[in-house]
Amino acid sequence: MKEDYLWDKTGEDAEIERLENVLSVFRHQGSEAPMPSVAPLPEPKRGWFFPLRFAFAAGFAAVLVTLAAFLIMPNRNAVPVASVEPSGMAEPPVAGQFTNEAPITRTDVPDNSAVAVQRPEAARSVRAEKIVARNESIKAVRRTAKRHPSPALTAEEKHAYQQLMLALSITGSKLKIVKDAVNGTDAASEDLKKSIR
Amino acid sequence: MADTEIARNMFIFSEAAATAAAPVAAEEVNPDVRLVERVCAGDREAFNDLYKRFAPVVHGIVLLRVPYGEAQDIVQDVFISVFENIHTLREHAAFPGWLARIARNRAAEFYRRKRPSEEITEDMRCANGAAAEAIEILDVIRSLPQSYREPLVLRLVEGLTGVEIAERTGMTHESVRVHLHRGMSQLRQKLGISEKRK
Repeated sequence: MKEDYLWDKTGEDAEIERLENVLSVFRHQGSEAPMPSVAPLPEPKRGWFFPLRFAFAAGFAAVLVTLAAFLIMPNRNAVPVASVEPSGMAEPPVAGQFTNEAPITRTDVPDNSAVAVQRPEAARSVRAEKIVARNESIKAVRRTAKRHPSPALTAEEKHAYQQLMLALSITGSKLKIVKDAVNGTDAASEDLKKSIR
Repeated sequence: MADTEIARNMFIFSEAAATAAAPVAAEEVNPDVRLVERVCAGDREAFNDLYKRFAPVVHGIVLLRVPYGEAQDIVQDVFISVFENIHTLREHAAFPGWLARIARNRAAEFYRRKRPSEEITEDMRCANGAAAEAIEILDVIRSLPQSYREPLVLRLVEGLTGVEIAERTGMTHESVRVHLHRGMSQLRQKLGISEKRK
């Protein structure tokens, strides 16, 4: 068929062959390539070119690390706040301290009115000192609480936190799927299709 | 909402990563890409091979736009330009299309600078009836629609097959086949040649 000859020179077509013969006077005559004096410049692609898939993987990894660091930091600061909550811990040392300074029964002290007068005054001073110490400890707790806010979250914050954790878990799983797909793992691509559906 | 959006984004990125890997496989098969890479590395022998392979294509493209006597000089200029600028080509597989664009631009530049008075001033070695007929046929090919001209001149003048034309111009096989067939049909009409059937 003529079309075959026109396409790949198989078969015969007298007219096309004649045209080829006539037009062959214009054909490019084989010659040597020109020799430029200047060598071609090297390709400037290795310095900055970065495979697209590695860029995406690195971007996702950076996002995950940043989010993880952001989530971990408040938890570390909450530990000392939780330890301040039971305020009763402050009292025993304080009580022990004043116990030594406030002897109620002493065998070596003579039983006289001066001593009897001293006891109420000592007790009052002990109590006052106890109150002062307690106030100071409360102030210390409040100062600490101001520096490190309470870990207790509102309902909205809890919901946002849960959403964030869910997003992180999904991102992590998808990142693994992407990595598997890039590496040519068929199972990973099937998992991705299922999750999309 | 967030998880579906994250999932959608991840799917897009995974598709992009998969398509980014595909061109790498194609480059490994195409011998022209290897030639181009060697030329970029400064291999003169590879450049010579590249010239032998693509010079007919450039010549055919240029011949459509300039007189025959000027075509060879322009072909040389095109390949010098290719040698100097090949490092700017990012996708080596796009070399055929890139080369064809350079050839067309150079031919257009020449025609802007010098306007020959008439096509009959072709520098022909043989001054006989065949030369005159060749010029007439070439003029008819030049008058055809642009998409038919180049495949026809590459097929009839330079003697390339349809497959070679597709490979060396960056066109698809189907496109070349259609343009060859339609172009040939129009050429026959204009030359008054009836289609003979075996």
